[in-house]
Amino acid sequence: MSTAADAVLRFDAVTRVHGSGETAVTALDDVSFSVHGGELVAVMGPSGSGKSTLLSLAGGLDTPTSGAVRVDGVDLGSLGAAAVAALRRRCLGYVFQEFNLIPALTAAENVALPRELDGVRRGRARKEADAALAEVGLADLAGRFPDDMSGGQQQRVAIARALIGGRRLVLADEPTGALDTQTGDTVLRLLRGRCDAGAAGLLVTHEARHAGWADRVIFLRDGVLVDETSRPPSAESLLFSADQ
Amino acid sequence: MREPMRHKVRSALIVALVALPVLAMAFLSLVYSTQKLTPAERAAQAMGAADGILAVTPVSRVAPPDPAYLIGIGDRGVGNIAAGAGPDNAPQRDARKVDLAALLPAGTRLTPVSYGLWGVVVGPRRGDIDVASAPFVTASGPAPIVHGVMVLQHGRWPRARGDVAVSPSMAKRFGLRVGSRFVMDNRAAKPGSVVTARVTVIGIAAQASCLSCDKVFALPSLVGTTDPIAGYSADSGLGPYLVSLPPAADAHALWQDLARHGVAFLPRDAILHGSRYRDTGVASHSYTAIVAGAMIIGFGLLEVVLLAGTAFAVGARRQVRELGLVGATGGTPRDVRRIVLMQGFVLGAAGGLIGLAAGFVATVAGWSKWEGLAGHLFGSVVASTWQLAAIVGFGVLAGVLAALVPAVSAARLPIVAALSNRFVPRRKPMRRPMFGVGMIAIGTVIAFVCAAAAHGDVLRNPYAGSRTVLLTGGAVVGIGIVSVGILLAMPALVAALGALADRLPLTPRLAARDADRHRHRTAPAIGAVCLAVAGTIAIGFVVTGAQRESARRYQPYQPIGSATMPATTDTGAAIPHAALAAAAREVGASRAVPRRQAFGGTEADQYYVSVADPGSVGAAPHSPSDINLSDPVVVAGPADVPVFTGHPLTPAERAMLASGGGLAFEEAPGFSFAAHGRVTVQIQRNDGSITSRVGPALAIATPAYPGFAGLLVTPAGARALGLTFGAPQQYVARPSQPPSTDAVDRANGLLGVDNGVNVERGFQSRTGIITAILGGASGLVTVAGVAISVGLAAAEGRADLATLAAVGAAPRRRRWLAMAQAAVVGGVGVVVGVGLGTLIGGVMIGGFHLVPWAVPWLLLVVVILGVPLIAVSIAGLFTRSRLPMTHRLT
Repeated sequence: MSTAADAVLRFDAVTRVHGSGETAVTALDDVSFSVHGGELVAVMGPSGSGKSTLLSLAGGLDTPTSGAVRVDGVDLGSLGAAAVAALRRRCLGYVFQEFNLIPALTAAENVALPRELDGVRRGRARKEADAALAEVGLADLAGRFPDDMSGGQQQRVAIARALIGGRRLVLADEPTGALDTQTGDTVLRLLRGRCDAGAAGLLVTHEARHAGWADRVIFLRDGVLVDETSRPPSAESLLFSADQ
Repeated sequence: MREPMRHKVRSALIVALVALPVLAMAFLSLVYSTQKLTPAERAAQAMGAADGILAVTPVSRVAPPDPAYLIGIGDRGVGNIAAGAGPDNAPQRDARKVDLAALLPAGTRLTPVSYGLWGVVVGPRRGDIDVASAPFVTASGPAPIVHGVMVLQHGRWPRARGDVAVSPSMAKRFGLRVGSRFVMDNRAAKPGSVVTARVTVIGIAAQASCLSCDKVFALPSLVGTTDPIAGYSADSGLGPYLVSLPPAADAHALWQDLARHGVAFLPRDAILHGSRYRDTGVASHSYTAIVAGAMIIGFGLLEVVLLAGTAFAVGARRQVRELGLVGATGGTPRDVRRIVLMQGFVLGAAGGLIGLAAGFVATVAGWSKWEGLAGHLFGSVVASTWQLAAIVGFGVLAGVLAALVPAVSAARLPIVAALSNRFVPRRKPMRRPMFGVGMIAIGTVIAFVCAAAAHGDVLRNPYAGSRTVLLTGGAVVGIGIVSVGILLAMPALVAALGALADRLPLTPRLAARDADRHRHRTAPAIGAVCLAVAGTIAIGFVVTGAQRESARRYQPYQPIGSATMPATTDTGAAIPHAALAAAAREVGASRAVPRRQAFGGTEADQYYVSVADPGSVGAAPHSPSDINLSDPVVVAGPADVPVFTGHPLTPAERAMLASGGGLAFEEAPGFSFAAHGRVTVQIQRNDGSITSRVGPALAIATPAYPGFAGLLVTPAGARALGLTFGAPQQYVARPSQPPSTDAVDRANGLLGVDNGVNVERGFQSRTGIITAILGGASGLVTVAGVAISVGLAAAEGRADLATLAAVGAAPRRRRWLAMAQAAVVGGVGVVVGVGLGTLIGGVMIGGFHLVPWAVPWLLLVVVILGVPLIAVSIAGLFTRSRLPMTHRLT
């Protein structure tokens, strides 16, 4: 039985307010949840519900107004910018809707990027990248630049980049948003497989069908965590219940 | 119009890039056209309201004066007017006996101009200054006939005998202002009857045509008579006079007729209608200047186009979706091109107008400064409509050319890609680089062949004409073709760099690949750096060669470190020994020793002495042809000789001097006037007869400072050779350390001379200063190019920086990346620029043979290492280390 203490990612009463005074907007309000190793958690909610803010906070790209975000038990708020960057290199990986590969680097170089940034020698990082690319089925495209790849291929490269180095937390922001159904399923299957191998995953998605790949779903509305379920319900039912 | 307004920072950058060179162009152009006085202004400055200036020369026939030589009546009149009015071998005469009235038309009025050379003493400083009186200064102020020649700047004109006005130049030189007092005497002009006066400065007045002239203006009651006959000098003749001609007089005929009678007459008409009086055709050197000017403007335009083009390329890339919408709504590629080109037109016009306005402000703001540099007063701001249109047109052309390539690229983009705001990287360029390489090869051949042919022309005829100018222009065109070829090949070079970056560490790899991917902005920025560096290196080659040649030709006139002092003041008075001793101490020497010139005959009837070439008497090889002795035989006391030789006496030298012999310096490698222990001195009498005297002499190997003396003898040695000597012409001191310029100034003050103390410091190379200026100039352009390129890369690559942050890049990575990008732009630009600069230098030196070949090593080190280092450092210094965090997440 896993507990909150051994969670890979943990939000403790996290609130994030953008702006101040009359223009203040509460993007997240007193949100608490945790994600454990081997678990894929989907975050759902309408536009403006705070999903992206939640993901930014989870990745240390933003800091909460109050509360704490912990990765592997470490409070991100207690770390400096360089330490948070090091944590991003070693402990968590991002997958974006728009892939966000560096166009000037080849697929292998993109995948090796976090490792090279972490000081790993170029050759070793390249070997790890090749292995990660093989894992996502793109071993043959290691030397290609992103401009020469399809959207699905680019997203698989992005997943490989998020997985390299044995990182335990994968944050995925609408990773299938720019892909066709079949490619999207392939990407989610990869993500699911990584979580089954022990990583913790946080998946932001609009589609209930994609949330079906998750172990749990948390639902946000106007920055408030309105529900958390271990089974993927339909979005419509959650909206209905939230209105009650 | 709206698009530039939407992106104010980028638009401001482009406007500034265009405006800066336009400012420089407008400023130079306006100052040049303004300082170039109209004929009427020039005539007014030269002769006020008179119809001409006239002087009776001491020769019976002169050539009509050339108006080009005239500065103005404010200068020493006769000599100035008669300058260039030879022949100087015409019979001498007494100018006072010329009947001017018979030579001039009836009704002509002459106004004599009064000048005198007076000694001026202000505190420790002394100098001989021109004193001008009537008609510039009369009891009722300047006479109407000199209106415009002098301009009162401060105070008032003299009204009493003890009042004077001084020129701004003299006021600055002697530290005078209104209310200052000083002493002046006319010893220089009249050694017999000296008048000394203590005067007060009551005004500062400038001579309009010569702001650098030192001048005192005083009433006739102070300077004495204004009668030109009384002030007659047998050497300079009679005059000058201001001439008022009767209405019907033919000035041109008079100009020629009077010259036939030895009267130099320069009519006002010669200034107003110069073409009737002299050939005003364009000289060949003017064509060369036009070619050089065209080259500078052409390269300047190219520089601006490249830098502004970089900014434009990014602007067009950012605008790609809007341009796609134009296509989607029925617009043709031509419409897209027009939209981008119109932005270039608008920004270029804005830059042109702003630059012109700033140039006008700079011209007016520094008015008196520019007048001082030009040396004369200006009229009003002079600018033709064509001139202003050309200046603004330069800005418009720069803007449109900068937008040209981005406009063509934008028009080629597929509409679908443009609508999705998708950047489609261009394929690796192949055709253009090959074309570029071809241009480099062809341009190199053209440049070298034309330069060599031009040099051949000059060897055959130093005054070669249009063919040489055409060949020079051909060489310039060749260099231009090479430069354009390099710019065309630049994208391929950048692409090659990106391809070779595989094995580089992450940051430089990212920078090189980014440069490759965004060749549209990196190639022009590198091109701009390349051209600036090439110009610097090319000039560096020429300057270093010229310096080396100057160093080779330099002939010290005395041992290095020695100081010479005059024996008399500027007015001919002997300088007391006490003053000489004090001046010697001031420059750091224990004493000053006299240097006397030996001559034949007696002091009253001197004969010229020379030292015979040993070759001419069969005793040794002939002397080299370029030996030009200032004093063939110098006399010095035995104890003073080391000051002249630069070393203590050796036993052999001591013995030679003791035996009455002389020391002969090594005038050229392996040559001295002493051969086989003997020297031949020749005394040439006034009747042409020559007497030779042979005496013992020792050839000494050092020091070699040709031109000093052929033979150094003691007084006893001189007498043994039948020579005599008089008072010293000069004193020589040997300071232990080279004295400072301040010490030399103080020594001049102690001696009562303006500039009489000279220190032999050896050849003073100016390579360091020139290197600093050239290195600074190319550094400035490099930093500008790098700053624009890196800044635009940071703006364009913001999304990539956000990605780097998301995958864990440390904040400092952004700074490193900017530094690596700066290194790519600066480094490649410098390397290619050094190559192009060396090629241009090769054309200048190997083709034109302007100067000997010399590699400017210091400049190369400064440019190759220093300039990129500065660019990288500045990029690091001004780049924030924070990475954009959430750009793509929100």
